Amino acid sequence: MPEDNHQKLLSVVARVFDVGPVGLTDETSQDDIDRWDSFGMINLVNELELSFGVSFDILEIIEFRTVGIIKDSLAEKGISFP
Amino acid sequence: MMRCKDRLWAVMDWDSDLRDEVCSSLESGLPSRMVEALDAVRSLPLAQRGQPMRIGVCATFSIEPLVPALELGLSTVAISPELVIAEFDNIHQSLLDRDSVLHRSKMDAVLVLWQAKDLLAQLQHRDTQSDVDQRQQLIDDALDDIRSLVEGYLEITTAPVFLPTLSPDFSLATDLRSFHEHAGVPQAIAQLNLGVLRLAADNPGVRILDLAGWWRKIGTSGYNMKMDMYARQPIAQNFTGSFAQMIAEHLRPLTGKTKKVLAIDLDNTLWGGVLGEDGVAGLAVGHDFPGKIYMRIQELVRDLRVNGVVLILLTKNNHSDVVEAFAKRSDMPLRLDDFTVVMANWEAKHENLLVATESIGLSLDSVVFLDDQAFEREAMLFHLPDVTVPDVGADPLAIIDILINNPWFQRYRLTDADRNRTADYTNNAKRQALRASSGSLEDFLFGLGLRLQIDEIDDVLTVRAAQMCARTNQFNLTMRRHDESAISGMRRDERNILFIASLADKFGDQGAIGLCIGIADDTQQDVIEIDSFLMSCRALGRGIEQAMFYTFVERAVAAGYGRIHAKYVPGKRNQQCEEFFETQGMAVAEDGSDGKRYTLSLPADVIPPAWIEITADGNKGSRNNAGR
Repeated sequence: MPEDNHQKLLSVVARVFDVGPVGLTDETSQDDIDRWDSFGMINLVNELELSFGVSFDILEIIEFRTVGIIKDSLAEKGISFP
Repeated sequence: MMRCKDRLWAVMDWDSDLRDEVCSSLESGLPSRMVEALDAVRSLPLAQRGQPMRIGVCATFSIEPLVPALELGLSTVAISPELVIAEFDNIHQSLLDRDSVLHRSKMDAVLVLWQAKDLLAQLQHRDTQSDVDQRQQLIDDALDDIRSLVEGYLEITTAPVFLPTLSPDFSLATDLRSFHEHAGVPQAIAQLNLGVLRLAADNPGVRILDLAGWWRKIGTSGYNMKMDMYARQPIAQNFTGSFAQMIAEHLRPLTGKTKKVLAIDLDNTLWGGVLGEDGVAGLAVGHDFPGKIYMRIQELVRDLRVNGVVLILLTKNNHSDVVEAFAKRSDMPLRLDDFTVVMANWEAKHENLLVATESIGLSLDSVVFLDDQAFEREAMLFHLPDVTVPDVGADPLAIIDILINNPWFQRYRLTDADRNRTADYTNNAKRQALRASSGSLEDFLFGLGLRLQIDEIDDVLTVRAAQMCARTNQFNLTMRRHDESAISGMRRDERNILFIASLADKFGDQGAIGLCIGIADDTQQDVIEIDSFLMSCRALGRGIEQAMFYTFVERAVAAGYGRIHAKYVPGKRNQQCEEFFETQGMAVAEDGSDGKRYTLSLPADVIPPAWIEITADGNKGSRNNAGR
């Protein structure tokens, strides 16, 4: 269910950074969320990998500046989005 | 490995939903779930959150992402931690600088977390270490460095430091060649581990964190090279819960919550087969399969006894059959007299356990019960929920596993008290047996030859007195938990009356068992108030408390007091002594919500039990009541 994966991504971001999922969009970036610092990034990557059952390459992680970029990366790994 | 739920005995007062939530979030490895579970733990009343402890951590990798897991893991062993994280990869400064965060406030323990690659950085570059002597020098230097680090640290503080065992990191080169050369990585790791283990064996301030053992159990899937490279976080996320529980198990003995008793079934637990059906000849225990399974179980149980665990046998069999079987099978590792109490009859096991623990004066929450039958386990849990009952199924290998990997009987070192415990309780059980065979209770008590030694509290006894204040929960009238400095303070005022009572009888010396503290009232000159009055439950049922009270009254009169005031303060488990002051002839002065207040005018007619011989320090005021 493509819609589910979108919601799932937003809810992972929301719970890792302890923010409400309502305002989150593809454009939400590191600059918008206080806790999205280097430690936050570790939690985010770990939680995404466990939730979606994927493994990101180390060089991909460095690019994770917005929700949209993460989405593209997940899509490349076969996770479908609308 | 043991399941999370079986490790949770230290937090038995949590409800099952919370236990499930904590276990499943630790197993999930999801930081957000662990934070949620942690919030649930933190919202518990203080008493259910465990013992507050300040734990310092210094590491060569980043600890911050592991903090929720560590806090949650520690909560499962009844530690409510305040973690103090030292600066990343700055272990020397953190341990040795008196101004570092680890020394700014008093720690209960400090964990050092490093990996072999951090200590042997130079060794992994083969081009710089063609010379064996040179490589060996690197290893020797690393070990000297660890030694001086620990020595320097222990000059500053008494908080124990935990050093990890080392394993070949996944990033260290251990190819075949390295196993066949001197001072290669495998030899280096073995030498460093030997050095660290020797340091711990020689030095009570050094404890071991078996990190290598943990890596061995979980294997390469626990290593996350990506996060190690990206953020110096080598532990794979879904193993952070396991890592935290490993740390927690190493710290658990700091809480002093260890089990003292193993109550164990016989048929199909300590031997294969059912004695009543198969007869002695049909029992499986020996060197062949399946007897070797039970041989191993018996060896492990015997090891526990050697380590000071009290054994109770709970079996539905005829007593005489059990005696005969142990006599005929003297080749078994366990002998019948390894059990402090043998309950072989057809009564319910929970009733037998109650009788057995009472006879040796140990509480039910110090008992672990092992039985192959689900019915017996369920019945025990239902009737005596304080007993720890691991679910071992019907598989005898699960019993072996649980005896090897158990968290209940763990301790860092064996003390003389541990070694003597089994003998001590065996004597208690013998006293009980004598009681059963004696006619009247009074005859029994006269037959014990009880001697109570009263000593004023000196520097040495101050330590003991503080321990007694901390540990005595049942016969404790005021539940005051004085520490050494508080007791020293009270000793300084000569008007106060403080003494410790030690008990001996014909079976042996039980040591200090009672404490009494009377404090002079500052507002009423002729009044002394009983601040603390407590006795070890080992000494119950012999009139010792009465003899102690008599001694106190005698001393108060001698010191010129005209009145004793006292108070009973209700605690969690001290209901049994609620009526004590009444039974000693004190009048109730006030019955408030926080306990009863009593008063007694002096001199008073208080009579000590005739079967106890009371002697006082330096024999002053000694009184011999023995004989009728």
